[in-house]
Amino acid sequence: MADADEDVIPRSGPLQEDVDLSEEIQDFRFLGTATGNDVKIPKRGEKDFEPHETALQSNTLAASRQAMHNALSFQRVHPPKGVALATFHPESNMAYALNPKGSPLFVRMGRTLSKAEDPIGDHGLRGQRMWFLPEEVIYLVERGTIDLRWPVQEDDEDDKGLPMSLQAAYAMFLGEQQGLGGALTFERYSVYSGLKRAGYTILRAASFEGSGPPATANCYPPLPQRTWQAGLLSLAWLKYIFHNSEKEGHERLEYGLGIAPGLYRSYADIYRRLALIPWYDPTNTQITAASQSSPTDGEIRVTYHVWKPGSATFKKSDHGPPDFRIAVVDARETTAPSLQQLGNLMATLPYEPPKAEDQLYQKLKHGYKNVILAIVDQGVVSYLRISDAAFGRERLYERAGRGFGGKRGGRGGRGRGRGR
Amino acid sequence: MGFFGKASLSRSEPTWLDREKARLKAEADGMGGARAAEVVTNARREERRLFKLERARAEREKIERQRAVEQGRVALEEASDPRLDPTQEFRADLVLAQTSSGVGELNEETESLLKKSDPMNPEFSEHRVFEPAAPIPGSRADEFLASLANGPMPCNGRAANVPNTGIIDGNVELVDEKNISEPNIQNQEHLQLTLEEAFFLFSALGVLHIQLPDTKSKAPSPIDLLILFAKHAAFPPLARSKARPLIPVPSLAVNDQPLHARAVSHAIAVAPLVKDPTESSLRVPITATPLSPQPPHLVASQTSLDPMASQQLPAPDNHFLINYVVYHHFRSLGWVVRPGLKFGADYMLYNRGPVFSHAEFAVIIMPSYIDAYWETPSGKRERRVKGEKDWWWLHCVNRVQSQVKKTLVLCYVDIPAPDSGQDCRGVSGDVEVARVLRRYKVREFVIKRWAVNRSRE
Repeated sequence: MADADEDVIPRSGPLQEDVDLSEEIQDFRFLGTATGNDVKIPKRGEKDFEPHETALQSNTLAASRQAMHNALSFQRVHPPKGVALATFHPESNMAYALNPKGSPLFVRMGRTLSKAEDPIGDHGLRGQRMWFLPEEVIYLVERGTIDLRWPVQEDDEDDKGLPMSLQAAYAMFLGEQQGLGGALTFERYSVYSGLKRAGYTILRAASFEGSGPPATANCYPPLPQRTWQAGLLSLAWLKYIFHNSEKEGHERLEYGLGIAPGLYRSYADIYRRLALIPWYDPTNTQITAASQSSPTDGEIRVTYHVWKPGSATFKKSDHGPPDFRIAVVDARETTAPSLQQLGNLMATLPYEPPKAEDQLYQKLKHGYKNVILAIVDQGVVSYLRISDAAFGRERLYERAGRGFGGKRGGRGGRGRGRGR
Repeated sequence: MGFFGKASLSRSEPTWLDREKARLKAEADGMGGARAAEVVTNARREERRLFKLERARAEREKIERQRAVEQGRVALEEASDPRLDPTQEFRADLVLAQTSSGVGELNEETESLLKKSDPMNPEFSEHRVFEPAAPIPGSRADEFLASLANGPMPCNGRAANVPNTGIIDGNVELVDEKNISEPNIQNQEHLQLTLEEAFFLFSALGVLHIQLPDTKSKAPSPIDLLILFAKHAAFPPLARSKARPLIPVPSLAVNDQPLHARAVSHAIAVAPLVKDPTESSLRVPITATPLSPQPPHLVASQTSLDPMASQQLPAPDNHFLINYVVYHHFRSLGWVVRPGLKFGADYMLYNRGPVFSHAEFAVIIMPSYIDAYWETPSGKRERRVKGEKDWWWLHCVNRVQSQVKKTLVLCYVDIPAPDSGQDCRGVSGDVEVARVLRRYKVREFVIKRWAVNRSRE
């Protein structure tokens, strides 16, 4: 419970979007009243900073505590029809269950493998065998949804195998051994279980271990063929002329950096002449041979593909593109990302530009490529969304109709003292 | 564009002279004069402090009432009289006070806040003796402050700190303004520019005339100034190498009489950088005398530098150089770039200026050594930034920025290898500032916290 408090963004004023109700510790007294279909997460109660010595305050506290104890002391039972038996498979470090039912979790977890991939082979009930990845196994065992057993030995009494304890499950699945696709570390499992508890659907990315497949064409912006086809009337064509600062370079450089004194017809002209520093343009990069090179040590890669809980398009057979991409990083082993690491990470991501009709700030914050870094510090996870913003593409001086030009707008009724 | 520098005695632009005159005038005749930014800010802060004191007092009373009810001293219905509970109104006012965005909107918000809080005054009088002061001419804000100052004293007696707006004066008389003569004050403050701002104004816009302490009759060229500023990027100023002689400081070039810093600051502050837009053409206003664009090889001071120019160029990861690269990049896109020391960042980006809206972006500069040279042993030795920043630092910075509702931008600067002499030279064979700066590359990333619970839909 203490950890949940650290996630709360402090309230400052009436901005409701800052208040995340589900992150705050709820008032359990309202749980009893929450019945029916239209239940909302109850708002948390008033926060007391010091004891008032009023009976009202202590009564409220006692009632809330009692409500919490009542809620947590609810006894969980397993229906007899809903037991799912899973067997550990040591060679591939996974577990399989035969047609597990009994929990809606199985809709989104586990998968059946084809003839070629199934470690046991093609005989028997291959089509009904559902394989679980190591992180899924640990999560299900923790919840008590599956009953995990060791492989069947000859001298067992029944044909089920010894039950596997939670410690054993952790020992087998967390560690160096390669599951199907890579090793599970404690950091990755923390991220997995945290997100899973929140309701997301999580699958391993192709770059779970190693560099993954080379960057495909969707990682790069579409080639600008259409602008040329639009003809001379296209304004984008004119922009290519002005953006080329090399032509004016030689005359400008005599004056130091920039503006020769003289007559200028608009602010945009002056700003264009000031443009000097090369900046990274994500809309200009294309597939080159160099971009296919293999990464070096210490690279950050996408670990999980995550879909939202209410995603209607997710099917086990055909996922569709993920809603989020998560890259798990260990805070104690790495440092803040360098340009190479971020650049290589961005190169593996698909190109998702912001919508053209968005506002300026939204476009800048959305970025052309984005990824979520999950930074794990001994079990405490923090998520940062990093997006590749290209400030150079949003030129403030080209935005029309804002009275852009300096101190002019400050006059009028709101001039505070510079109005003379 | 705009908003360069900070006045040494004011909050941003130079208002010290006006404030002093207003203060003296107010002392003389007891009327509030034209308000500068600092006065308005102080008034607002004081009013908010009093508001908080009142709110705390009201909450204490509520608790007292509750306690009294429980102990059976007071009947329940009397204590729960909503009329006596001003905490609800406090919350509404709190909402109102906090929705005032931007400093420039202060006057209207203050007015509406005062209108709302007036009904509280009669309630105060129930609890305390309230003696309104003699009718004081002036704005409503002044009235309210005066009434608060002379009226109820908060429990710990801090009302003595009511700001000196010039009206809390027992004897008030209307004074004929014509009799007041403007006090003759020497302006004692100056406008302080940072090195990056000065270099930008000097070389990119060409509106600043810089006078170096060693006065002879030569203008500093942009490259000389770059070397000089880079030398002063650290304290004590860097010497490129102890073996080589120090760079001869270029002397002053005076086309007409030298402009004193005070005159420059006045020119920048007063004369706006824009002309009336209704004119058909705009000029870049040269408020200061422009440096005559002589070809570099004719300037005597440069020829002495020329054979050794490449060795005397600052190191490519010089602090000033990297900061200036980022500064120039964002300025050329149209952002107003201000120092971000107050928020723990390197720069703050404003859309139009600090007075119009709060900054949206906080930029932190991360120098990157990607070039192959920096991996060599000599390159590693010469790196100025050794070691890397850790994740905790990043989280701290991100927290600070989101607390003040700004977005963090990490600006990576790709530092080139030290120039062997070819890249930086222009067609005439001399080192050119633009070529020095163009070797850097800039890439920005926006960092935002991602909340698990909030992204479910």
